[in-house]
Amino acid sequence: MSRESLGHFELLVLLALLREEDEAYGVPIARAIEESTGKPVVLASVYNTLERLEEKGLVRSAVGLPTAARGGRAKRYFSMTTTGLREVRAAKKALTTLWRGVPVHEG
Amino acid sequence: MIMPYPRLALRLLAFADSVGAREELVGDVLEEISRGRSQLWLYRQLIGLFGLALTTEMRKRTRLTPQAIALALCAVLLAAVSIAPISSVLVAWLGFYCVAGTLSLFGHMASRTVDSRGTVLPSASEVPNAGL
Repeated sequence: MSRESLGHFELLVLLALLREEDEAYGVPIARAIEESTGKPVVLASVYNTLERLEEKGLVRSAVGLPTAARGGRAKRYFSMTTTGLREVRAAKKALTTLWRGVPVHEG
Repeated sequence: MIMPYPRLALRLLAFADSVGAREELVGDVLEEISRGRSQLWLYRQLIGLFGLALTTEMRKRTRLTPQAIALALCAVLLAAVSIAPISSVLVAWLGFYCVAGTLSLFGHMASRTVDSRGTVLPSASEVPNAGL
């Protein structure tokens, strides 16, 4: 695990990216986060996070073909690097360990 | 179907390219508009889009700032030495250094506070991809 840990939104973006697999670009990633959290997501914040993750080497991107529905603008597809997958696993392990120690409050 | 959206919002979106907004981000917004997103959603995206373009632009420009500051300080020092005794210049310099250093420290602390992160997620049993 790197010195700087993943933020909450960063982790959400990475998990959404994993779920979308080959079709991971801004729209499906934002929709997956909206569906899981129930909160509206600003696409710019998704791209800002993805850019930061790319700078950290956790994500890589490739430009797709432009389409008419997008006003002739191309999609940018994102995929996770091996380092990214390692970071997600490390975050999950840390969170699971912490949650195990949290007393369950019911009612 | 782009008709129900206000002309102003669509003009702003068309204008976004020229202010350095990411092409793929504008494309994503257009794609979602064609799927019938609400006006509120569009305005929210526009605010985010222009905000991101502005911060990216500012980040690009601040890369020049350390050089500009260093040049300006050198010029001020040379000018001060030419009109005042060097001991007075040194005292003034130390005073400025203390004030500027303190302000810079507070500025740095404030920027770190904005970047703070809280991570609270559901337990492993609630996460669908538990076998990662």
